Amino acid sequence: MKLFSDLLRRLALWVLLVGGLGAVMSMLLGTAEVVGNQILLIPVPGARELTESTMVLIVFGALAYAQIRRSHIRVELLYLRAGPRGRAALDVAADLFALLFFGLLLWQAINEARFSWQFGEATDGLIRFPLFPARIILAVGTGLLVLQLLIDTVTDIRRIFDGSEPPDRDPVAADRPLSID
Amino acid sequence: MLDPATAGIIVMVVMVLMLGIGVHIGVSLGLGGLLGIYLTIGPDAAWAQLATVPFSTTNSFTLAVIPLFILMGALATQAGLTTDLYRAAYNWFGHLRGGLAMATTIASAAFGAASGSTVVNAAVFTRMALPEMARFGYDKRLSAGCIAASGTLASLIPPSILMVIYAIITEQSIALLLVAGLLPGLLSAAIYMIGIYVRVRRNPALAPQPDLHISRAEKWRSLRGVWGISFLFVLVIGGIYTGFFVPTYAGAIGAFGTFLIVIAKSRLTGRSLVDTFKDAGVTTSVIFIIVIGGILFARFLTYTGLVNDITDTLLALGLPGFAYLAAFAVIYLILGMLIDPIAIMVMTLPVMFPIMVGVGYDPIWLGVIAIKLAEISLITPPVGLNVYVVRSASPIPLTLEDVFAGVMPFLVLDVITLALLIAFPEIVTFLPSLMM
Repeated sequence: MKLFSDLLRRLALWVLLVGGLGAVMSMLLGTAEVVGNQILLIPVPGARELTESTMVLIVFGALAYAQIRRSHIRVELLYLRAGPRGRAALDVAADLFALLFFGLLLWQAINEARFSWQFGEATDGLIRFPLFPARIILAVGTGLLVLQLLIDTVTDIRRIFDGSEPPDRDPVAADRPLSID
Repeated sequence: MLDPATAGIIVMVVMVLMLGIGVHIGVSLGLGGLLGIYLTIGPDAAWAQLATVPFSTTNSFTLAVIPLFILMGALATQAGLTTDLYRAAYNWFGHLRGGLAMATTIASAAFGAASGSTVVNAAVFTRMALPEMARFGYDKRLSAGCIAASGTLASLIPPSILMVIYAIITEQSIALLLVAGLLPGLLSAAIYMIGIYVRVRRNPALAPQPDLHISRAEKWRSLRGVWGISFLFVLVIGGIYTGFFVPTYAGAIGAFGTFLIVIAKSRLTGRSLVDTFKDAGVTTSVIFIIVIGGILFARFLTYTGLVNDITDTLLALGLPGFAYLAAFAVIYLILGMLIDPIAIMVMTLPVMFPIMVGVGYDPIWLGVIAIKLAEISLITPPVGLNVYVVRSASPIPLTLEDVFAGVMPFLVLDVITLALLIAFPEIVTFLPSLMM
């Protein structure tokens, strides 16, 4: 399982980084659109549609990695008061409910991606921008999360027995050293 | 099929249980909404919502403003812009009594203009400003309280992610709301500063006068590090204010400008870029899952007519408008003790917004009040998020009680600001009214 877990971690990070590049692309496209459209009066065709599809990549691309870092937000009132085994049990419950929700979502996302591909779904308007890549990304991102949740469920069930802490907690973004000098 | 009221009760019970045991908030809301639709309309309707909502929420040009603003904030954090801002504020105000606390408030508010994250804001300033204040003998409660409270300024001062979330849920103009937050954000900062000044005048032991001698040349030099981000803020907010570009493009330009500043300062390495992507990607994803869950939950409330029923019933009570506002505030403050501000908005607004607008409150003004309340909830016990952040990021020993005791005076100041915003709604509506 360790090998599978490491592989998934690496894959999740790569998908997230592709999403990051997508965000940079949206940033450049948006800037180009303002400069092109408003200042030079030259429209940038398809910028809007590409930005929309990239959004799906940014959100669903980072989904599995967010789970790996256990960053999803929860009410911690009970969690913080529980002992290590109690926390593990609460984590298992959270994993199972998340598996139910994202499992259902994955089922619908695969259906939607298949229809979109079959019917050549595209945006309305002057440029008919294909929508199936974004739909596939949504299904793939959700699929990766479901796999990660399965791994986490097994890990967390083990933790109930050995009373250990979860392997990875979310390091706060600002944890890196800063000084005023 | 069940009637909406019965289904509503079942959904509430299940959701409270899920939230209580620590199921992720987005998952709880999403499952609650699906369960409600399943029970009242049927499985096909529930699956149809699940098939459409996640895609339509993310495949959206309007919502692209969120990752772009998050990217801007993450780049600004990676670039160490906080250091530049604090250095400048420190050089100009550090020599005054209580000046280091004031400098923290100013730099925190200014960083709020690049970042919409109160948590990052509080964590960064804890590491930077707390040791400085300790070095000059400042009372650690005052220092910690000031940092935790000033961190919340980021959610009013544009760009604010919380404001965008409010706009999405209530279907209001993102541009108007972002601009509306500016004056109340500055007012909050000014009231904090006045509060600090009055406190240290009355009790000089809280903040000894530091022996700091900073030359005029050095003061001006320190401003060099901040002009770029100041210019960018004016460009981004000015662009939205004048209608020159939509908020999504403002986000793109803000992120691009910050990117250029980071490169100009030679603070971008491959490693820091990867960290920026990680932080921005994870934050975006986490927020969107809550929003998707919240929209599924809202669909249940609206499609089954529950919202209309609740609104009609509560409006039929015929209470004065202020009573509804007081209830709104109490609910926000109570929920704020337990739940993340984004989740509070997503959970409460589908029901509370129509009621409040029905009573006659301005939707834009209400947005600012809601955010101010959420800000207050970030520093109220027992779960004031920023208080925990300050404690855990603190390089000097601090107890939670120290930080909670430290934020109490700032809570009082926040209540004064809130009262001013309620008494003089023009503080909120003035700038947006010029845009219409």
